[in-house]
Amino acid sequence: MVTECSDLPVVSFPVRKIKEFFPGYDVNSIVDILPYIGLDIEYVDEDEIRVEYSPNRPDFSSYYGIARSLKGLLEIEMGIPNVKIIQSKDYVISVNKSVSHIRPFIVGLVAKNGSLDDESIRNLVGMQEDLHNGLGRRRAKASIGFHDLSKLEFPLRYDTVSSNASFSPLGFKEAVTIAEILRETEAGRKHGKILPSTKIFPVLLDGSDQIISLPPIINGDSTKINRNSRDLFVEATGTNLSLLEDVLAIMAITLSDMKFDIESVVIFYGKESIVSPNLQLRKFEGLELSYVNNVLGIKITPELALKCLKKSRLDGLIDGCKITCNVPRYRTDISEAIDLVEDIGIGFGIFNLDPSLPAYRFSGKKSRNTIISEKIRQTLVGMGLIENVNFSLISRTLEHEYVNRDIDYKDVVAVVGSKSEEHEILRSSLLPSLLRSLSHNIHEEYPQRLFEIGKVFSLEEDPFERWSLCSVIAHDEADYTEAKSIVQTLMGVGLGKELEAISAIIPTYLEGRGAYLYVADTKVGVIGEISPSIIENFKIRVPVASFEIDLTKLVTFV
Amino acid sequence: MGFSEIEGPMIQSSFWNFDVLFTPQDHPAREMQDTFYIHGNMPTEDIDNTVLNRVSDIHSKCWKYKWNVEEATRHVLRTHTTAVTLRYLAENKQDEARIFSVGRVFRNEKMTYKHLMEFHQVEGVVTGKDLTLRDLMGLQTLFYSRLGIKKVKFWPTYFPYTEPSLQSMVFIEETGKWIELFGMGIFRPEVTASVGLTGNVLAWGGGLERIAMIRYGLNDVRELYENRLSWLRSVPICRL
Repeated sequence: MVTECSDLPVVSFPVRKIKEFFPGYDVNSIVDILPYIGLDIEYVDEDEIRVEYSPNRPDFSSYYGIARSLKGLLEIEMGIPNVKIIQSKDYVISVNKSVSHIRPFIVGLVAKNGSLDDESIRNLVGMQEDLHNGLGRRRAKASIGFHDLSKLEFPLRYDTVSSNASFSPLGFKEAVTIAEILRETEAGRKHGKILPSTKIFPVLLDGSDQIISLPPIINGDSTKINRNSRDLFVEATGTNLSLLEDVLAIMAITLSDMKFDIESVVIFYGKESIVSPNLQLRKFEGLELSYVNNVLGIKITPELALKCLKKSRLDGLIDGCKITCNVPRYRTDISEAIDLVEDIGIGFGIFNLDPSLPAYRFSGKKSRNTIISEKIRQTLVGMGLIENVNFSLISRTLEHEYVNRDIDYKDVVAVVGSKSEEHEILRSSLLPSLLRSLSHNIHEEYPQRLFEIGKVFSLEEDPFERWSLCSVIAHDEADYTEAKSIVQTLMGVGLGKELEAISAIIPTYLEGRGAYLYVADTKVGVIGEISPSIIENFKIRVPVASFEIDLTKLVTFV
Repeated sequence: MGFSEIEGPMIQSSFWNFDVLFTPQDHPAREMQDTFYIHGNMPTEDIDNTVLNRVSDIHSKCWKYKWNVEEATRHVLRTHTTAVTLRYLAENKQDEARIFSVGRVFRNEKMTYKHLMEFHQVEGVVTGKDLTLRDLMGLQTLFYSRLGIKKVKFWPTYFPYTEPSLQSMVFIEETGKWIELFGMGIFRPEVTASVGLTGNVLAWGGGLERIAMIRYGLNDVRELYENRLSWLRSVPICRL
């Protein structure tokens, strides 16, 4: 449950529109209530409010969707929003079999008698981008195209062509081949790899055989929409028909809210045909009121539960202690009963829920590792050492500077595709980070005595993830004796264990000044004076003594 | 508050980090852009067949695609400690439990003044009889009050593995501002069912660094990892 998350989509809600949709409401009161439909306020000024929405509500990709939802909570408009589709025979698309292995499905709608301005076009383009990135999975699963209906002729064909075929894509006055589009344009380079074939490409052609779209890459320039477009054709192509119908349902309701008249399109897949958009309601039977009350912690009647559903722009029928719920197609966030429970909670108003405290008869405790770590910290800080915290992910350079030779990378645990060279491998020892810490503090007062408790990783060990304790002592007289004295006191006084050191040649340490540490005949760590060449790598100007203990191993003794 | 500490590995299989937590295999969060995948093959542990089959069925039914077991064995640096806490509950079924974890989690992001690619998460999970959303709000409110925070607001949000989900805003006296802190929710039935848990399982948690920054008056989260001695020497040891 982490709230520091990566970028969520942001929508701008012009204040002018807020006043238009919610006359009589103070804009500040709207800002205060928006979080209760699940939005985060990013920015407010006198011209616009910017809100962040969660990916489970793609209908919030336009402020019309936000207004629709808010009207429910404010009881201005409740229940399922009404969208009228005029069934028409005028608009037909034939799908050729050849697309079935490339980008098999297409859906579409016609939106007539509306009016567009710069702001509403921005709104539509913003929606398109959010839907592409979210539900569309960066266009791979679904992509949407807008066309000016007056610039094309029905019936349309969804077919494949070779890379030699040409048309004028958006922003170009001259015709270019598909091969050139893929190579030369930004859209081509970015989205071209979504298409599985390099020989045939899906295109939408109109009645006069002009290519009006190369999905998911780019549309034709001739059908581009502008402020004067009154009638639109909106299509969506992709790899999953059900998903495309969801996406189109969101477009249909938004355009309907924008006062366009929506007309249907018939699409022939061979002899089979479908009518698009598909706004059939989904039914959820048998939602138990007891379930709703048990999850939310409230006691409401079926009537109030139904009202809360309606406030969330859903609807239903009461059947004793159960409700049969109806969900409109554009509500892609509702798939199970629990989703309906949340919507009833939102309709009820999260601000109306009083926190309660459940009873519990057991007492808590810290983990053994924590108890031991705290004892170590207490002891070392008591001796005047300062604790450091460093990242587990470090650079290959840092590991190299420490080891002072080429590393055998087969034992190193690395990550793939890190955004920074500084964080490519998981450290196998705490020592490099502490040495780096010393090198960042060369202008601070000496003596500097640091320690760190953290996890280290090495495929040589089992388990390969282990807790470690490391300390560095830096000052003009730092030596093996001092390090030994510290670790001995820690073990004896802090943990009640006898420590033994046996001289050894360890590459990190000056020859003759290094040893392995043992507790009850088991090797638990190393100790010594850091070799001058390593100290030089870190640009430290005083001697450094250090020890490192495998805590995972030690804990088995304590 | 009666919570017992548990811990677990930072390296997790995608199965426990994502699949059991109802995150579909084509979800953007699972892409290399956002998650650290471990290079090369990690030794695969055995996953209980019952759990495996349940998860496969749930994914196929709800996300409408063919669930791929190979994808689930790819190892990642955990993106949340929920991978650990949920697994603990799955393997230690207790009627009533309060467990918590404080540990490092990882996101493949560029480091900035407010984002780290490695940070600490605090998480609490509660199982028991007749637990409700209001109980979750109560526990969070109590936790905040123990940290000295008296004013809390809750509103709805979204996490892939909890429903309903809430986030909390707290009022910080020192700055006079409301800030967003922990998120919480009730695990989705798909999640608890796949690991054989019944009843409403509550979960809450969030990043530790933000609290530390408020406490120490820092504006750049990276300062917490710089280990500047001039700062470390001036700050007293943290005592509750």
